[in-house]
Amino acid sequence: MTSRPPTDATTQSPKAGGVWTFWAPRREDHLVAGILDTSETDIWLVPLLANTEWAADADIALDPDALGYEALAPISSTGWVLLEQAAEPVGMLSEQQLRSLTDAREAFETDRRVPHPAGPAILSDKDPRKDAHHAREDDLRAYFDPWALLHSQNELGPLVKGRREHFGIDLETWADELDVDARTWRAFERGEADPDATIPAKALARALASIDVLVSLRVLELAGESVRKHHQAPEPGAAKARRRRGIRRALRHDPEAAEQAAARYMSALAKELGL
Amino acid sequence: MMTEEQYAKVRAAVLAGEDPFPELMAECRRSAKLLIRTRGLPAHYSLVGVWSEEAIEEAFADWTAVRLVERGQLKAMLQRSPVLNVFRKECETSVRQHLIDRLKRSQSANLYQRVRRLFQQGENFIPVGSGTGTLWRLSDGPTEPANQEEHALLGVAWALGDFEVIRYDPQAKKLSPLLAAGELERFCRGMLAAGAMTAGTIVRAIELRFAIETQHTPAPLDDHAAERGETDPQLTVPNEDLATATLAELTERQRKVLRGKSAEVPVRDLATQLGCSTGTISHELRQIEVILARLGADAPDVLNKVLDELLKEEA
Repeated sequence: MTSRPPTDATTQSPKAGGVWTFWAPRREDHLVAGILDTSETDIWLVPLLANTEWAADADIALDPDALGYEALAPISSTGWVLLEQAAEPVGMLSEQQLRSLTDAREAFETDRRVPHPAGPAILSDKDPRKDAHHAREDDLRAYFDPWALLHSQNELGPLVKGRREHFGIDLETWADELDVDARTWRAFERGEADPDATIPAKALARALASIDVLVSLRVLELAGESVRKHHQAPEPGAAKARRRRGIRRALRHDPEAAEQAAARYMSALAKELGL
Repeated sequence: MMTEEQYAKVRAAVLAGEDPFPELMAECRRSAKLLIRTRGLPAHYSLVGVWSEEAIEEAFADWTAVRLVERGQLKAMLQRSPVLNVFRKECETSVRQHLIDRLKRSQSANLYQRVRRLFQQGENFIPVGSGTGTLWRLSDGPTEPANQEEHALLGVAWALGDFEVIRYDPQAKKLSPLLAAGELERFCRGMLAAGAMTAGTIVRAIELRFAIETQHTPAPLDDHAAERGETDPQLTVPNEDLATATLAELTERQRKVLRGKSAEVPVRDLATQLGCSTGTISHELRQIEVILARLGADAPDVLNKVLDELLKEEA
């Protein structure tokens, strides 16, 4: 499992307008970026690049008063990262700068002309900036991939399945190592079972550690969602009568009980993950 | 030498707004010197045509003044570098880029004369007016003046596509110009197809398109060394050094692309292997061509050494 590298502890939390550095697994260098918005688990950012060479009409130039050096904000490359990827604050955008970046993004998304672009439009397929921008996107992808991975599913089981298969891990062997029944694990991976009822948080944490998933609040959110979706509570009352008759107890989905179970499981998993 | 702990402390202080510490500048000097001395940096990257102690000091001082201080790049490098090892790599890249930019400026020193000569002697160039304000147009091109705004000029210039960079020739007694005559003519004709322009406007378009910085006038190259009977240092540079310089300048992805190209892997397959787009592969192939040409490393014997080294790395 990938965890946040040690950085100077900071009490500041990322918020819109902040300029932070961001880390990514397998990248030695940090990305400097301006924060456009945040959610409970994620950050929406625009990279602020010191290399201004390939500027075009979807890029905004930032004067040195923002960062101490001239920078380029590629509006087409705004993206989401996980909250845990924020490494340290290094500056603050002025209200005007933040507005110009969000306005530019809005214009870009609605196919309007980005106001005050840093460079001219790409007018021809021969323009080498076209390929240079592809290379830039590929470079930045490393920072956006952890978020994309954890948002590719809306519950944890199928995501775990995808990662396990990516690493070529055999399900039966893995379940055995984790001391979980293989059928139970398969049902969890298929999004058919409640992990709270079938998979100890410790086993799930061990599993996540071996499939290179970034430790994050989003993982907890996905685990919680798995519980919420598949939690089954016994029907209230008549339990004694059922037992007397030898009938398996009836189960039903109770949103309130599911929410409680999700909170409990997320808390246990958070402890195991060190969050 | 700086320790990781010292670096962390100094980095935090400078990012918090303090002046760069002497230890940090010493680290920058060390990184710059190491690059020049051990990475096979060719002598034509030096303004005086040789990497003497004085030339190294001059390059370091110029890099510090222009990049680290004036453009605030020290802060940018520190922000991107959580650990010392990354900072050293950032320094190396920055010094190299600075030397390359100076080289481009030197190569573009006589652009104005070349453009004017081309207009006066070439076919189908029609002058309107006189003196430095003379507008030039193509006989079959538009007669109206082109939009002089920099974005408009740059847009036209980029749309002309790639231009072949002149290969550095170690046999030459001075640096090659930025663009060969044929490529300069293609550039000028492409620009004039957008409207009439002065030679000065064309030169400005070249400066913008090829990112030639004009605010600093470089010291003249020592063109007279050969006349004084001194040996051109490039003539004595062994191919091993050029191979070292090339390998040091290529990024990790460019190395993989070069290996793939030499193994004749189709672009699409190479993109799949490297997990990137075909556009990225095309971009990297162009960047590799530029690096090889600038270093004079595209000569078959040098290129073979580079490829041998890459294959060894792979093994």
